Amino acid sequence: MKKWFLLLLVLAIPATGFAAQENEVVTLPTVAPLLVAAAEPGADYSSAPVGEFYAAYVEGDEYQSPRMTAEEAQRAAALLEDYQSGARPEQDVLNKETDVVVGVYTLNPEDYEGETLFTLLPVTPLTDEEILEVIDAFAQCGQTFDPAALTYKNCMRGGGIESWRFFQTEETERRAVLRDLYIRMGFVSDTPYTPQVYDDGLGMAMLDPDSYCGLDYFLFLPARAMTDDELLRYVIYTETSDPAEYGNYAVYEKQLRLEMSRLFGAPLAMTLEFETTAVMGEQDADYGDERAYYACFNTPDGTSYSGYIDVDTSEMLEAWLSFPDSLAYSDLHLDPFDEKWLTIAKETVQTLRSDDAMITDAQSMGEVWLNEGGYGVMVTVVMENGGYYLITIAYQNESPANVITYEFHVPEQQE
Amino acid sequence: MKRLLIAVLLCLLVSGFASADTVREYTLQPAEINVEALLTITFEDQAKNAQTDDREYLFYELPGYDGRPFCGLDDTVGFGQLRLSGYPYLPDSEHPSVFTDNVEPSGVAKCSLTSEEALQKSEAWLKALGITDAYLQSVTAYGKLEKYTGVYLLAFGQQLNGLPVYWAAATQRDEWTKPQSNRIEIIIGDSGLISLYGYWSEFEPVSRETEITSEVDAGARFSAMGLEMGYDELCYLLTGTRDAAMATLAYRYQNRFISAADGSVLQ
Repeated sequence: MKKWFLLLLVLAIPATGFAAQENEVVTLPTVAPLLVAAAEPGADYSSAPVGEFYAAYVEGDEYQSPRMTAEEAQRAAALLEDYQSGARPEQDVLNKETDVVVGVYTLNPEDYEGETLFTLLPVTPLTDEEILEVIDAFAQCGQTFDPAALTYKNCMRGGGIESWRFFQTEETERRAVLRDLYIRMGFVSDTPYTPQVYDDGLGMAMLDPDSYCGLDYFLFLPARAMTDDELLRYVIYTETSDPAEYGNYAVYEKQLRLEMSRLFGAPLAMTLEFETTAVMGEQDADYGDERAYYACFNTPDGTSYSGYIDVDTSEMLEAWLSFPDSLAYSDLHLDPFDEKWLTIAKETVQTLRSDDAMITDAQSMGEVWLNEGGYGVMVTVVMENGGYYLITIAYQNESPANVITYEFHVPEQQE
Repeated sequence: MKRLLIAVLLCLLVSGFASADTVREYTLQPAEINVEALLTITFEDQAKNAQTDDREYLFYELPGYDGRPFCGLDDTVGFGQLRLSGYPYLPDSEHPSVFTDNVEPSGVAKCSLTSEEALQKSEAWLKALGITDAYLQSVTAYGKLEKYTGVYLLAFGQQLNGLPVYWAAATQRDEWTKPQSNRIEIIIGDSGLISLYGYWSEFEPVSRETEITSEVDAGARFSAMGLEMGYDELCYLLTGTRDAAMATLAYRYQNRFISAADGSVLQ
């Protein structure tokens, strides 16, 4: 019996070797901690907050309020009679997806507080044709258009002062997690996103920006918390970066973090907030067809780091260190060409950088406005590789403020 | 003779005390400006043809011109300030760029005018306008970019009793009604004045004191606030509302101010 037992033990040894071979070390998809979704107790997915806004709303731009003007409503009554007598618009705007000036959209009432149609109206006075288009779209759905029935629950006009609902914070946070899962791990939804709202309660109409004060799209979000799958669909539909690059994001991110540490003294413990890839020349006319990876990181104290790295050369092309707003307004105006600003700027660069790169020049760019912090001076610090820093120093505390910019191009090339 | 000597000594004593007085608080009113001088600076030989329009403050322009030349004296901005502007005629081709990317770091603008000449002319214009309490804050040379005319921008701050004045941060919270700095910016090039713009006040005393917090006490006060032992300068802190603004003598350390009268924290 003892011999059999020993024999079994001997035979079992290779088996443990096989098991060990199976247990390979797998590189994590990201060196950054993944964002954690947190439920937001105060989230309100209904139209109630918008209702409160309009309850307190006294007067405003009538072409940005969710209704027709009195004059338009009067014309609508006459045009309804014309429609009933056979008049028809030149175009059909029911569920119109793109270049929308006027649009009417069929809703799932259970997702939209009982509403069945949603109307988009422009910031400009409505023409007879546009009113007729609305009447026609309602008629196609078996409804008679009544301008008096337009409210914030079923209408947005001209880029809307307030309309329907927006993504709640917890949805935005879940969306960030899901974007990460999509890009880093390839999670996808079985159901594709469609811009039409009637099929699943989600939708997107692409607007004519001139008709909506620059707003170029309108989102239909159901009056309930969106599911993870719905948010994932939306993420996939709206993601613009190159899917072929997704598998490389972890490597690119590591390159960027290392450069952030070298050029800005960025800590390793930064939370990745956003990332994408781009052709650099499309982001900044000073550049060409460099393939770039962009990411933005935050630290607990509110400092943020962001930048574009050339994924082929690992060279930082542009980067920004943004300080949290902590300065009270200061009315102080000093001489921006005092030598001390150059000294402070050079010391700042030397403190930030973790290498021994030489500074070749420093020049004052004059006085600058620091938003709420008052005034300061901008200094250019040029490095031996031709890259340079733009450093803003607040007069009030003689310390770097706002944003420090690093650019790979020498300043002269910008002329 | 002895009586006369005593009388003289008494007078000197009294005047000595008087000069030791320090006016601590002032109210602000819009500055009084020499309108004729502003018209001449802006319209030169066309000054007599300048006309006002229907605004509630003085605004002059030339009939038949759209835009420049024009000038204004706006005493409706509140906070005891006058908004002063003078924009002589300027061809489009000579419009300068006064942004950071066009700053000439050497301090020499791309024009024949030197910074010293620019300063002399600017000071002469201010004097003609009746502004005698200005001090030079900075001179910035522009002209790094080829396509723009080279100019100098001279910035003048306002002084009260020889001390600079600063608006308090608290008055800046409402961006729609906040005061601008008491400061005039003059842009000048080879063609002469290009623009003159700023805000200026007059100060009326409302209280007099004989002693102020000592420099040592001021430093200690800042130190007690967790700041450095010491202070940057004695100045006047401007506070108030659109309807009523006041200047208070104060010690400044960075962006913190304490009253020079009693050491209380103002900001």
